[in-house]
Amino acid sequence: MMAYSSKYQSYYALLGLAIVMNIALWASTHKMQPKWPNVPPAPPAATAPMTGLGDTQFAYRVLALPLQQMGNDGGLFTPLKDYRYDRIGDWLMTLHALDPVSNYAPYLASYYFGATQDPQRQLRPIIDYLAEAGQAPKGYKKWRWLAQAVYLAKFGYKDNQLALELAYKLAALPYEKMPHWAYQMPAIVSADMGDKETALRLMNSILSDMLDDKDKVQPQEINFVVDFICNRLYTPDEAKAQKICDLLPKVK
Amino acid sequence: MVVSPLVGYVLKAAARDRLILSCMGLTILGTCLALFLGGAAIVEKQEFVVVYTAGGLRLLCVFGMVLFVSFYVRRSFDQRDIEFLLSRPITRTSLIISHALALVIVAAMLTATAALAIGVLSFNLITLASLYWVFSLFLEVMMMGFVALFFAMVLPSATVSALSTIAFYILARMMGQLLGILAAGGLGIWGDISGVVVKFISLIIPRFDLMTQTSWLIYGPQGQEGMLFLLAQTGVFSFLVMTAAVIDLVRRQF
Repeated sequence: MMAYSSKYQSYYALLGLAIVMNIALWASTHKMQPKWPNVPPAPPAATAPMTGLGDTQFAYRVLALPLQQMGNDGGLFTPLKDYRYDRIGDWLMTLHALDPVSNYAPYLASYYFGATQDPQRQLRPIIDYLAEAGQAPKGYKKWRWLAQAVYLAKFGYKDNQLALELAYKLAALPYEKMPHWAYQMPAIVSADMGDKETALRLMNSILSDMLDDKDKVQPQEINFVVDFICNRLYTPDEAKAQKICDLLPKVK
Repeated sequence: MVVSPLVGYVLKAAARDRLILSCMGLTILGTCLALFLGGAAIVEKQEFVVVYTAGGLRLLCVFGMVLFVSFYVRRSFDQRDIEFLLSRPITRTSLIISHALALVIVAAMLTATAALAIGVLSFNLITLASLYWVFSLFLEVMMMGFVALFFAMVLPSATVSALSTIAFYILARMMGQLLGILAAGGLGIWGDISGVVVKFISLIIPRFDLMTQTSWLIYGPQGQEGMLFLLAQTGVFSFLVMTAAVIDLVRRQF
């Protein structure tokens, strides 16, 4: 028995040494937290399909989901004002090249990245992207993203000239079933109406259009518009008087 | 030409290797993972789940087929099964053709597993384009089975033949992008030289990038990938690779 133990003694000693070395390494590394080096450069549109092994739709979805979660993983939460929006714009343009039909990237650009705390410094790449996405091939009903670009240019980026240019592009789109307000956008922007009133009209029209076509619109999009109208455009008292605000789930 | 017992022998080998069973298990796991990942998307959740599942199952079917064929053929050589079979009244051409037919059946079973998963996930999105995707997947997996058979016959190691076949698959999947980059130009003198090499290689590489696109499951086929193209590419390329496999076996000295 003694011989058996002494035979393996050196191995046990080595195992003990290995464990001690691991603990020593842990002592110097366990306080290291993951750091986010900000938005990485976007892959070029020409080579991006290789991400999905030549399957462009697979590449689109594989690249799009991490864009949504970028900066908010590994226990980190990064405010949008700290993101490199020039690179976000590149990512969105690459996604647009992979799939100009999907509403995922435009939705992300409008309602997520569009909500940055520093719109005048950061929003330009988002507006450029939405302007591009809003002019997708005819038949896909993408004009509303161009309308979002107008809205962000006017009320976020606060560039009336840019908003007016985009509004003219919106009104000139060759869609047959755009609502009247889309054609009136150049006039609305030119008149330089107040933020709340214009936004309310815009969002109510968008909501009405969405409800007409609700089988083809994501319920989350409708929820967002209702939430925007009731919680950001109306005061709490005004919201109480609006029937539409009853649609919102009550948070206690 | 086709030796039925030999086809059954290959199918029994697939069953013994638990190929279909393990692929079914991985299909369930992969589908669960796709549901988890797709559920994190802010909108278009179902589209994410379908695309992730379809893309993952395509890789699973292809890699499953490649690994099975590579290791099965090498084992048959090492255990002298091939020599035993050839000592019977079976020609070398019949041996290859029977193996090819068995691989067609294996490809059909793998594809059926993937089709079932996609059908369950996207029953409300199923159109003729979904069947088109399934048929294209079947052809792609079948062709990769033939390529794996060829490499396993030619190369002396199962690991090397599996890796070579996978490298071939990746190249075939990216060939469209490589040719597109070359067509765009502006690559300089070295780009022009490597462009000639890539174009030469593309002569015998199938365009898998035009097959089994997950976008078909959402939007339907939109490009030049017609049924005629699928059948023509499958016929022409399968003929090439099977002929090469037959020539290798006919010339081989045991």
